[in-house]
Parts: sequence; structure tokens; C-alpha cells
Amino acid sequence: MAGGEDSDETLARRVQTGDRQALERLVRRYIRPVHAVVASFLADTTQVEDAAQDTFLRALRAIDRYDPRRPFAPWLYQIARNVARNHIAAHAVRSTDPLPMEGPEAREPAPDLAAERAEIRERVEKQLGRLPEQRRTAFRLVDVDGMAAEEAGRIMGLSPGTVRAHVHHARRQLRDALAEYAAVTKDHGG
Amino acid sequence: MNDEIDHGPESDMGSAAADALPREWMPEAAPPDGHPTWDSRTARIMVAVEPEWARLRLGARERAASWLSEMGSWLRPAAALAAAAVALLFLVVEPPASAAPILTTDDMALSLIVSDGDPVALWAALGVPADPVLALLTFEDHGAMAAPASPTTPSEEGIR
Repeated sequence: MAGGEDSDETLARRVQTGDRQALERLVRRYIRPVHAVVASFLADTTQVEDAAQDTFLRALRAIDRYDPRRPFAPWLYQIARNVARNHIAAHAVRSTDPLPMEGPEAREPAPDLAAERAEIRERVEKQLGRLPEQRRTAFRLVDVDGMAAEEAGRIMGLSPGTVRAHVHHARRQLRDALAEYAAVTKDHGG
Repeated sequence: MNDEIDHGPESDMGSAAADALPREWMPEAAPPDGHPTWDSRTARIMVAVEPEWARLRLGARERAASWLSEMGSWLRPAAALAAAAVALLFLVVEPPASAAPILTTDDMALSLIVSDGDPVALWAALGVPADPVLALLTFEDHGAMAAPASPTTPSEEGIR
């Protein structure tokens, strides 16, 4: 947030008093983080879009119950998490999708590197679905969307150190799960 | 799309590059801040929340109106009750009676006539039981102060 701009809490208070412009500014400010959070739960782009929209809708419905003395970002983050969970419950649950058990040696070599990368990405997505919730979200915000640990922590209501720890564990877990692909990618020069 | 993400020094990707997964393994990143896609998504969300916004504002106005009317319905009987209490106070409570009569020179002169020059009778006529000597002294003092133009007080006249 640039200096001199209204704080999130000020804008939220103005939304409570019926300021539509304040609502639009909050949406503009948080649309990207909210997308990132719900994307850490949902794989489908359409579902991500719907969930992000739903998050703001629910936040608006609950705005009278928001206490402006408390930080706004973690409050919105909790709503985004709940919305994403509801979407998961309503649609196919990604984290329970069975992973193909065969390793890279058991399948045909990929004729095309791009196709193989797409396959690896799909596997990463599935592995991400198996990570604990906060680890997954921290990884998504920091490693995928390039957010600083401080900013991710502000949104998640965690310290930057905790966010870094989550990211570190997520990377290690993903690396362990995808170790065999690392060798294959190396073989293909990727 | 991935190339638009800045993994600069403030990003943890840069600080732990060895630890990070290859970028090509990552899920597709969201467009960066300021990308036009966020404008269109914001606009879409604002359109989507519009009915809810209108409903909330209408609800807030209705709540404010019902609060006022509720306050009014509570205040009217309260005001009537308060007015009745004040009226009752005027009816029941009499102004306190003065402890002693306030004497004026005219009262004194008339009382003197009635009392036939007797200071004790004079004070008795005013409802004050008095010692004969003190009554006389008090009467003389009062007469001297009240009528400085007349050097002769009724008591002095009596003495003469």
C-alpha cells in the first residue's frame, strides 16, 4: 500500500457506512491475493473466478460484523478459505483425486517436452492438493505468484518467518514427491 | 504469462533459488498487479455484488427508519408520563410556609395601635412570644432604624 492511501480498515469502515467507492477500492486492492488464495484450493480456472467473486460477495454480506480495529486482510483471507472449501465440497475434491501410481520409468517416454512439462505441472497441482492448507497457500502466494513473504504473511495473518517456513516445507515435500521427474527433466535437458 | 511475474529481490524465490522448484513445474501464475485483467475482473465483481449492495443499503435504511419509529413510540408515552409527573408535583407539593413574618414599618405601626403601646402585646399579636424587657428594646431599635426622621418613638412618648 502506498503512503497516504487509506488503510484497508478505513476503507472497510467506509463500506460499512455505505461508501460504494471504498468497496471498489478494496476489491481492486485484494482481487489478486484473493485469486491466489482460492487458486491454492481449486484447480479449475472457472471455479477460481467464481470463488473469488463469491469471496467478495460474502465479505460484503458480513461487512457489518467486521470490526475495523482488527486487520482486514486476514478477515478476508478466512472468508476466501471458507468459500474455497465450500467450492471443493460442492465440486470434485482435488485433494482426494487418486494419483497415478506408476513412475516415469513405467510410462512411455514423452514425445514432446512441452507435453511432459504439462504432465509434471498436473502432478505438481495434485501434490499441492495434498499439502496442508496453510503450506499450500503460502507456497502459492510466494513461489507461484511471486509475493514477498511479508505481504503473504500480512494477508494470511502470519509472521513472515512462518510463511517462509511453510514455503520451505512445501518445496521440500513437492521435491520429494517429484524426485523421479527431476531426473527425467534433467535427461530431457529441462 | 509466467514471464510477467517479477521474482526480484523481495521475492523469496530469489533468496532461496536453490530450494525452489523449477519454474516450468509451477502452476500458472496470476497476472501481475496493474494488469488489465484485474480491471475487468474488478468491474465484473462490482456488477455481481450490485444487487447485494443495494439490498444491504436498503436494509440499513429500513433499520434506521424502524429504529427511529421505535424510539418515537417509546418516547411519546415517556414524555406524557414525565409531563404528568411534573403536573402532579405542582398539585401535591405546596410552597414552604415562611418561618417568621416579615415586619414592615406599616405593619409595625398598625400592630402598635392594636397592641395599645405594649411591646409584648405587639410581639404577641405578630405571633412571637417575647420577654417584656427584650421586646421593648427590640421595638425601640427597630423604630429608630425604620423611621430616622421621627426622633420620638412611641415608647419614648410613653416614657415621657
